[in-house]
Amino acid sequence: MTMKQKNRSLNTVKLVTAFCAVALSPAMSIAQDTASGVLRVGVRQEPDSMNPHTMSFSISFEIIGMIYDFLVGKNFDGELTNSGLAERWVRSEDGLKWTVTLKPDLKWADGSPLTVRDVVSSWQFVMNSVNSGVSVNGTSSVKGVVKSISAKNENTIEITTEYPTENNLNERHIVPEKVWGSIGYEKVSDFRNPAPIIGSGPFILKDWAQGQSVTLERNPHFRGPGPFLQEVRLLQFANPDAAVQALRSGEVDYITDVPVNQVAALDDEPDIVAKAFDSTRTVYLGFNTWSGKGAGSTTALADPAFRDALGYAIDKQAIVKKVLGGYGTPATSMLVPAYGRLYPDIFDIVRPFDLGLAKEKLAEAGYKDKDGNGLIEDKEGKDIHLRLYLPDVETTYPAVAQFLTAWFGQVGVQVNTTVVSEASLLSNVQDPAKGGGDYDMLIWFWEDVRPDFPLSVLQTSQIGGLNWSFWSDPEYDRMYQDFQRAGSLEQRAEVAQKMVRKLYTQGPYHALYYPATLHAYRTDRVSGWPDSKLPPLMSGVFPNPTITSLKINE
Amino acid sequence: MLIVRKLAGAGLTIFVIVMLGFFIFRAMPGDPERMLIGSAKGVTPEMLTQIRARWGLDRPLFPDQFISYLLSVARGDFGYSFKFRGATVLDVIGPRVMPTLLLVGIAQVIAIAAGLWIGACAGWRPGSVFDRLGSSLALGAYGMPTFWLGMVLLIVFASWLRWFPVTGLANFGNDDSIGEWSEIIRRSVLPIATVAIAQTGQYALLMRAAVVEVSKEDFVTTARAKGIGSNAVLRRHLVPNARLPIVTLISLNLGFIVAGAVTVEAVFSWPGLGLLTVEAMRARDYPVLQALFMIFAVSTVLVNMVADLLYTQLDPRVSR
Repeated sequence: MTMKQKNRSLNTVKLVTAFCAVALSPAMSIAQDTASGVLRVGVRQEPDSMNPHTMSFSISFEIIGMIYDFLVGKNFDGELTNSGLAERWVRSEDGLKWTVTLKPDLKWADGSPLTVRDVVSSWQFVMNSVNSGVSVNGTSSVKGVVKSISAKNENTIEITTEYPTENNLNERHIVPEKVWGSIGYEKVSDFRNPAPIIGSGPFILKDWAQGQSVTLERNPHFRGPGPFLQEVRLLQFANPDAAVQALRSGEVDYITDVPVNQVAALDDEPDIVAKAFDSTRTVYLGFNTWSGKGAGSTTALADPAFRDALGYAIDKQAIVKKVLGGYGTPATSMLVPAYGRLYPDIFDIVRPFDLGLAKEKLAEAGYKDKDGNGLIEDKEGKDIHLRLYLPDVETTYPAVAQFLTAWFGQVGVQVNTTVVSEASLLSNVQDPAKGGGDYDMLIWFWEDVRPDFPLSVLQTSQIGGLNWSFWSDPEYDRMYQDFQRAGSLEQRAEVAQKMVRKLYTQGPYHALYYPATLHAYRTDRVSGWPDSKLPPLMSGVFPNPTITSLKINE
Repeated sequence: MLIVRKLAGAGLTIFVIVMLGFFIFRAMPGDPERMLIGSAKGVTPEMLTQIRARWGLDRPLFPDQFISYLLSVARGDFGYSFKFRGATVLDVIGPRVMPTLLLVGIAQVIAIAAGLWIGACAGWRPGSVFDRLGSSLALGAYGMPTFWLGMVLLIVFASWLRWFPVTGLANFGNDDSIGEWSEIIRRSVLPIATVAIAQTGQYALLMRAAVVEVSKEDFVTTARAKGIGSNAVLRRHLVPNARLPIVTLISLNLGFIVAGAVTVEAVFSWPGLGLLTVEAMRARDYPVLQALFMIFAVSTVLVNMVADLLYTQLDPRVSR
């Protein structure tokens, strides 16, 4: 019987005997809840896995980010910092080689030394996965990018890349070779990485009670500064209103995903701060731009001029104000403000909301209401009725659809909205050659802490994968390669801006808004909350700079 | 003979459920491999092919996948969870069983005891103050949406009065002490009260109706005429004759014990089977859903079979 099974059995016995042995006593102390040094966080999502190679939920990345380190850290603006394991990283003159020096005396949480061997083996596991037939997290980002990695001496590593790039330095968790050395590719997808998980980050995973909580304990060998918390407990709340009540009553110190209608009321409470932070999510209106089998209901969808004209009939400001209660920002592209310097400035080409202009542009492109029935016709003379699909996972989308229906209706385009299951919508966006397509428009979102991701999904090679508008542009594909190969943040930002401008004018997607992520925390029990634009947890910045600065008030 | 007939009937029903379990989940829209990855990042067509092969989705649905499914179910092997990578379905479901049994089991016992008592007393003296008050409260409790009742209790007793915690059975206890036991109880009070209140109304109303009906029978008049005391008439003559519909209701409700009180578990973040069902549906975790479907269906069939057999003991006319 494993320790976990023993604990489970013990808990089961306790559950049953507790009811027989102890009389109900409403006035029992809650002293345990307020034990010093414990940060209690109410979260909505539950991790899917603690295996850094296979996890996919953002909460899993957040937790693992507190346990394992990256070689090089990153700050809120996307710049590399020495908050990871590396003290310095120097690029060769040709830009193809990085010499990375580790900080001195690095240790794992069990006190054993963290060496260059651990770093090399962690990278090599992902690099060799390219030819193993198994995809793990990061396989696609090393493929064709990282050529080799080797230990130069006891604290220096050399990384050779196929072209000059600083990508990857902040992407791979460094895991102990003594644990992961025996996990081959055949075992990796089934390996759960049970507690206690020993890493080099500020915390150790102490316990994961599925469906209930995740408990992290302070790593006594963390290189510092901090953490000043003895424990972090992530408590899962299936009901967001219950999480709000728990914050109010002081049962938890911090909650994520605050319901929109509760933010103002919570912020009015003494000792509670509730605010909107930037997220990495973009909600978009996507078009089926495919021609041939799987195409949309009208050929107009494949015409960039038609999609561009519809862009003038979307009042993003009104959507943010009326649907999101102001907790969001009108979007210009798939790159979000949280990407810092990679957030492109394209305000000179942003379309104003102007229904008259939209009509004019449609007429210029050849889409007019020739028969006077209130609907414009496509070039085949057919009235344009567009089918808009919404996934059933998000409650705000139907309201957005209502606005779009009204605005598009005023320019002569009828919209019929259907709410479908996510699974059903996923079958619509699969490869048109394999039965995908059969939709006109959809509202959905992209979200990733890495700016590469939203740019990558529109490559031609992603049709059948994640390119759900089936849009293809060879120049864009080339620019994506340039983006990947850009040697510095400035170069990447420059290429990203060109890509985004192309996307904006071509309009396979109209980015609608960046919803804010709403968090609330108590200031009477915990101090050290940062005044940053990204939230204390779930910021996508690793290592998380907030978690090591929080302190429980005496 | 009756037992054999009932067992055969239950066996056949369970077999049909097993068949349905295979076809229902494969008839759902969308490709399973798409659901396996959801909107995961960086997915390429090659990865989709790899996933199909790994989960056996590249083999023909019939007979390959079907036979493999039947053999797995016979072994009690429901495979791996889509959501919790590397965990078997039984690993995922196992820890959720006891919290649900605890929640719904205790709530049922309280509800049956309280409901039957209120119903019997109210039905014995219809029109009395107790009847009017009891029936109104029972009707209110029965008609109230459970999630709303849960939220009200949570706001009043946890947020305002702070007698009980908001959080469900989350891991707050730190050691194996009496303190942890008391924590478990404190955390269970509101969820159990919510289920119990909702169920009490149902039992009270049914018991009242049954008692009112039976009290009109001749044998009750005879018992009273013989000078037997009110309580004795109620206990010996009325309740035993009013219990058949109650047994039906109890057996129906017991069938749902395993399914849990889905809404209550969601309101209180109670880590039971009901909440797991909601989470699995949200994550499209079909292996887990398939196993839960089987567990719920089979437990309902078995409890109903027991109720049928109990009926024959309570009322021999049923077996004729």
